[in-house]
Amino acid sequence: MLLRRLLRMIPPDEPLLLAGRRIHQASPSAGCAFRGLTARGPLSPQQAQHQPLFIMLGTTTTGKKLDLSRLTDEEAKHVWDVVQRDFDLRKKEEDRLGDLKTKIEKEDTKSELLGNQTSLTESYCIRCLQPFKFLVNSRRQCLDCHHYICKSCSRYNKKEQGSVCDPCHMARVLKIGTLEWYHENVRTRFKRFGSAKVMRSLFKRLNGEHSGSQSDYGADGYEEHSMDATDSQHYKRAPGSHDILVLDVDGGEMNLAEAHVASVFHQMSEQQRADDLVFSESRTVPSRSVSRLSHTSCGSGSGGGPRGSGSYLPGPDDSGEEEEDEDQCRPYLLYQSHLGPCSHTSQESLNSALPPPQISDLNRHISNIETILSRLEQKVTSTYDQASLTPSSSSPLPQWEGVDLEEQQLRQKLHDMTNDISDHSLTSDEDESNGPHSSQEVPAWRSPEGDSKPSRLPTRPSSRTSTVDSILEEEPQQTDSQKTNHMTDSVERKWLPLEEGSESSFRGSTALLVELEGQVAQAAADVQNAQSEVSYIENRIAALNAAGMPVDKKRRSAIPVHPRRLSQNVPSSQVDRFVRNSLYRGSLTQRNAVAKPKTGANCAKPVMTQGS
Amino acid sequence: MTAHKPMGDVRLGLLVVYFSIINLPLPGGSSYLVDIVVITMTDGDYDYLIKLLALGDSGVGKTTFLYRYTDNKFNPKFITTVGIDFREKRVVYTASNPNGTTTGKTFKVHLQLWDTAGQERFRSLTTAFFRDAMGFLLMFDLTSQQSFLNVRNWMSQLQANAYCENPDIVLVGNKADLADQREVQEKQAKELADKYGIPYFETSAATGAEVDKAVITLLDLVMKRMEQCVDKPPVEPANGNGATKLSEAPPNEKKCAC
Repeated sequence: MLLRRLLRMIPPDEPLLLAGRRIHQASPSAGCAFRGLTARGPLSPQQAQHQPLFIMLGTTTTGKKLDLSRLTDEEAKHVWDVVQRDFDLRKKEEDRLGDLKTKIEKEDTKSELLGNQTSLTESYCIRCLQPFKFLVNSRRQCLDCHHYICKSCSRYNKKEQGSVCDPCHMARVLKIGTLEWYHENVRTRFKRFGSAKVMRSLFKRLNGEHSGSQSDYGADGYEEHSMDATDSQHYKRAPGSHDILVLDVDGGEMNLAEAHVASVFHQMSEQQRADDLVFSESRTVPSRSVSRLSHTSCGSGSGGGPRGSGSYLPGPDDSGEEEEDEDQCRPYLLYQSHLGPCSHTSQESLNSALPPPQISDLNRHISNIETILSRLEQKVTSTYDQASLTPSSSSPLPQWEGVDLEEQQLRQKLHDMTNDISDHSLTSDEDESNGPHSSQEVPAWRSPEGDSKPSRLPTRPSSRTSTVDSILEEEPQQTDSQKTNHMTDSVERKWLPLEEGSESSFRGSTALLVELEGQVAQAAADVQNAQSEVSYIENRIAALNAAGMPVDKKRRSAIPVHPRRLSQNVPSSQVDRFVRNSLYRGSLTQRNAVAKPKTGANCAKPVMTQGS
Repeated sequence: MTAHKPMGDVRLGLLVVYFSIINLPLPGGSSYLVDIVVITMTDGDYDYLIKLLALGDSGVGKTTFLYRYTDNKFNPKFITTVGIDFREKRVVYTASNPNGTTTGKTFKVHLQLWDTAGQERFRSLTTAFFRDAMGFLLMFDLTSQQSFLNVRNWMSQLQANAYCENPDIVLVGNKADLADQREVQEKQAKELADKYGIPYFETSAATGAEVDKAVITLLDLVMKRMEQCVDKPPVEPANGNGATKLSEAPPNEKKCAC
């Protein structure tokens, strides 16, 4: 908490850029470790004074993992302050070296301009432009730039037995001062300097606190969720931008802080070409991401999710950026967590809560559809084979007469089906109204043929249309105006509701989105499957019609084929349908459209199937 | 010292300037530094920024040692360092030739002295800062055998976490003033230091004995390495100083564990 308050004070005044691809080698597990915040008081002096040997031996191996989870808030704040001071000092140093560089560059330009004129450089000091005179102002050659210089502009280097002009000397000092050799070493051994590493860890800790605190909010923490999700989204998005980490999301305190640090990084790296600050490593990629995941999962036990679940994340894509394992670690874990056993942040619970219900709902709908379909088939066959046996006792439409009625009804249903293979509101609606009756009738007049057909239906992938259903649930208020949308349109349309829904419920949770998108794609494919199946059925029905039904009946039946007619035509079971309807009305509106053209076309095809 | 003063370092804004002329006992002309301290934290008027780091078991006196060095004061109270801290000091470094004669070249050096917590629970944090330093004051408590035994572990920590496997190190036995409680004999420590090929000093933060000399010797080592590394192509700068090469634990090949 302290930390967060502190972070809030940091002005987000600078561009939020982190230059350089940063790879964190050492402590991928730190991210998860961070979430478990244990507040341990400092050891007493006596305790701390003499540590047993074995402890140190143990830590030698794990020395590269940075685990700040055991720091108390105050300790973390102190560390933060120290690191901040270090950054200030580094900044100062960068400024200083930058000034030096500028001076040297100026001098270089000058000597470049003058150096071409041999006559001038032969007789004048290129630095101070004083003429060389024998004995009084003898000329000498700089060891570095090889220009002729006077004594006052140079210093003699005993070791090298030669003179070096002042600018070149300055350049040497600068060369030493930048400690290139040192930074080179650090670079080869580590990904970033210690302060930066710790700073990053503190961020993670902060994030950990953030998400951790949400669990306190319980159900009310919804808003927080979305915010946190957004954060994770920005983490995820950052990878995509490869070399530049753009932190653009809504301003939580974290972002401010990160922005500040990022700006520091940026400025410093600008001046020193990111040399020692952010070690850009081109090392990529899939392998790393894998290892990262695995690291993550096996990381200190406070929050490791199962690694396998990370598979649905756009892994290869963001592994390239290699944005700090630590950074990635947290979001990944969050996304993974709903599969995992240890979902202790509310985010996780959110994730775990949402998808499953949807899926089960979808499954229910699917099975509904399937039963309807099979029922329809049964009816059709029965109609054809034994028209006289039509719904006698418990038929939903007892007042209709004979085959015509039955056929009309079936047609209606089929029509709806075709329109709304994905529209469960309608189908389920139908289902409800017919369900009870047909369940009673079916045993009575089910033919062997009818039995075999249904068996085929359930084999369809149960996952299909699942997403659609979830969409429907999220968008129950759809208006009827959308009824006219084409089937494909409706499929595409799902994206919209989906996004909206996801935004509202878990805004910005990219991983979830990705997952849902996958589901939608799957669903779209499945819907098409179903569509073709339905058209097949339609064809069969049409064949039935063509074979056994008088033309006038057909026409008659064709007319009422309109969603609205349904309610008019089927007054019975009003109650049942109403309930169902109100529940899923929205979906109904969505994808009606396709049906009309299809019926016509399908009706044409027919007889052949029938014949077979 | 008030071990960790809370965050905002007030000194930074104050431009406090004071001199502490250190009377260096220069034994046999081996040390070449005149130490004029000018703490002007705000100006960037220095030639080099050198970062040193003190490490060692908890309670050996790292913080008081550095406090003595930077402020020339002693705080007998034990206040455990929270993870990490650092102090700054401006010194004038006078370069010398190997033969002991000064070249007259002087550099203003800004020292950043990292102070680390010795406690185990801060270990991962403090080791992360090892890479931020160019030279190390490896300290133990002359009155604690255990802290001395742990020196070898600290050495391996350094090898694993410093900028290279053979960084410049000075072994420091602190609390030399507590003669009656001494558990580590000078001979022992010297042998260990020789084994590693590093200088050894027995210091007392309480009296200030040898404190400056230890730091300056380390600075000298670092500066020497700096010059060496600049003079020659920076191919293998890390191995430039063979003298400080650690004899124990031969360098393993893990350059970068990623």
